[in-house]
Amino acid sequence: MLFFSFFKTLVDQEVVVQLKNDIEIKGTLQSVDQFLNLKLDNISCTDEIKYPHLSSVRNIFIRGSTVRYVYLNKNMVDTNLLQDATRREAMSERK
Amino acid sequence: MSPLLKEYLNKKVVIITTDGHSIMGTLEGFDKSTNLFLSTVQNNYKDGDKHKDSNNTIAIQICRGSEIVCCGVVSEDEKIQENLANVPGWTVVKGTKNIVKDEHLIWKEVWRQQNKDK
Repeated sequence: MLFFSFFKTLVDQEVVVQLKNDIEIKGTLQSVDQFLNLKLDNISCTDEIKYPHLSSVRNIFIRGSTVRYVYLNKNMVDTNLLQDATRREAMSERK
Repeated sequence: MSPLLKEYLNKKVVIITTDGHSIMGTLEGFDKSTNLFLSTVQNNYKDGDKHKDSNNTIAIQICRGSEIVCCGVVSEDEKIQENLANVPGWTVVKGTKNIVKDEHLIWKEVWRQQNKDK
């Protein structure tokens, strides 16, 4: 549940999502759910000519299971805090 | 529950599937594992030398959630829709499975190397 909360803090920020089929989509994170399905607004594909499918799409739902990476800006994340939180969660699960 | 798709109901959507095909249709329903229920579906991809003029429209289709990569709502802007109509047959994009070709040969070699020492 930690990363669900983490992604909720990223709402309204611009992210780049790389999918497992190598498509990269840039857009504003609109919402996220417990499966880490993402909804992006105002999207643009990094390689529009290769993927004309998404040229007419502005708002997209991405199934969490097909996401490979989510690229974030460095200043969006407090890595120390996140590291702390993940460790704490791992500890609490072990008990 | 996943209410994320609620706003897409009764709208025209483009779906890319895990095998790289794309489908356009009207979203009629969905469930929490993103199984999608579509109506007036166009299989708008170029299949080998068959062109999209073959115009195979399916009245109703159910897409299994595990096969779905993404689902984008088609902009209602008429100009954009026109552009979409002019796309000369959609190409099939890469699938998500990223299967290694002849993987069994690699493992065979690994096994052979490991047993060489014995």
